[in-house]
Amino acid sequence: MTGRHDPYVRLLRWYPKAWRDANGAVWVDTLREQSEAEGWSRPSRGEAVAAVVNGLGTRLDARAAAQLALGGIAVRAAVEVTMQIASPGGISVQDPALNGLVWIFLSAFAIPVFGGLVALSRSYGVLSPRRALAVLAAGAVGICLFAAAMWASAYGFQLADDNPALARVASAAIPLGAAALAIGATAGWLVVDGMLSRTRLRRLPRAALSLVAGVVLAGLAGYATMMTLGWVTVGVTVVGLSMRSLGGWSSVEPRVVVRSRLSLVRTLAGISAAISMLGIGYAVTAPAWSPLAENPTTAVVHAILVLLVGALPLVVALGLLAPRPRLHVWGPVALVLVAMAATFYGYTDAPLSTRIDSSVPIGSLALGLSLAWWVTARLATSRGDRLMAGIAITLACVVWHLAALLPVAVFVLPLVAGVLAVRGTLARREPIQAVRTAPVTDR
Amino acid sequence: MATPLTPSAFWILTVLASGRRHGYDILSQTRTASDGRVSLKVATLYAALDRLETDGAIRADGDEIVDGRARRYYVLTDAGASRLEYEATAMAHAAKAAQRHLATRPALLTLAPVIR
Repeated sequence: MTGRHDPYVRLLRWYPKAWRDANGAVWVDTLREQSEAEGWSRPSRGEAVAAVVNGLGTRLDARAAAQLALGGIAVRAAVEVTMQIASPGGISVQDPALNGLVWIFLSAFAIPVFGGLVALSRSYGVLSPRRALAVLAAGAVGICLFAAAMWASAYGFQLADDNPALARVASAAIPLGAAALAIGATAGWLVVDGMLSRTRLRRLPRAALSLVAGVVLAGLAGYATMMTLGWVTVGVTVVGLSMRSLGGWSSVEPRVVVRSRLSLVRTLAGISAAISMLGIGYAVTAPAWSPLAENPTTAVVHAILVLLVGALPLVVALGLLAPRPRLHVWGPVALVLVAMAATFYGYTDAPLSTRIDSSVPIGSLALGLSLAWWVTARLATSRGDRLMAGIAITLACVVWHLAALLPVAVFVLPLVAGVLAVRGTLARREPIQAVRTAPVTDR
Repeated sequence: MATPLTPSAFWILTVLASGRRHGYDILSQTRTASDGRVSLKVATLYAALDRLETDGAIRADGDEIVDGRARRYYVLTDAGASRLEYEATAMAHAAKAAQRHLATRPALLTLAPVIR
């Protein structure tokens, strides 16, 4: 290889660094030899185009998949926060301009997540570099057209009554939607055809299957764009699978707990089970006898508060069982407790719900950080990749309003706590070995 | 049943069946062996080599500097040889079937000049 102004070396820059480091010198010298044999002093146009397409396609690897999906989730979280600040009560459907803009935002975050999905498929060998690039381009155009169709529909139809000129905007929704479906189906067809090309299916059934599946996939992509959390869920899945490709989980130590600690776990779980049974009993019977429970809704709210308190010993018990370094267990556990405290605060004035508006985002952030800490401490990837996964998980939990599930989740508490109190473990296949003197697994 | 080979993968495995070769050698040999029907670009060749290597059909067999140029050699693995053999047998069966049917074809076309 010679200098960076060398036309052959310049083409190599389209490939990712890891690929260049592994194959660059051989690739450049082969390209030079090929061009010289054909009497050229520089790469032919065909070679240059092939290098650009394959280089960009090769860039769509597991790391790119995680980065793109994370970028999409970050955009979605930013939109969520902006919307909350700009319109605390939610965007009014009576405001056509804002309502239309939502679709632009939704597509802006769906495209990078879709890119992550394509990159992940490429890294799994489902798509060749060229095909991956074509799928990405077609899918991105399809999502943009879908967003334009939804915008035209949301903006145009609502204002058409007042301003007939806007009826044209509204009527553009149908051709735009049809174009989105056609181009999206092309992307889907390319994906399915790429998968079926590895089978010995005959050409005609393969084309028919690819076409039908392509239309279905395009429809699903459109549905995911309309669903608030559709692409966020896809994004988190892409980040998770990419991390698995990049390094997976670090090895798990055997579960060994000293006998005295196992007794403590069972005791804490028993306390939790008792309190939570009390809470559920209150929810069911309180309207009949309690002066505090004016109606069944109030009784349930009170029960949630009792159940949240009852969950505290269980969370501590689960922390005692975790076979990991102390910091990476109790850090996440402390954050779960913060989320529970926030939820408790939010429900103290329920069912008025004035405090829930602030308690849910805070609780979701705490749960997200807890989950991110727990997961990233156990990933066997580089620090940068772990940071990426942590940010993705945290943002996704905030966007998902995960803490809003806590008041529902506490109702399964008696079951979980009861099992732990009786068995001393929730593990199915690898029961905890209780030993008398062995050092505790926490490091 | 083995995964079907793309035309470029088929010709790459074919030229590697006769021995260890480097990138440019594979390019020129695939063109010659396929009577010019397969003319790979360098970027396409390396994408195909990457994929075949991942699939275990070929493996890299050392880098060398020859006349100041970096060359990486590739060899066919046993798995690659099996896939090529399977594909070649399937193609031979298909070709035989086509020839058999052609042989039984009514002689309309051959008689055409006589009729005219």
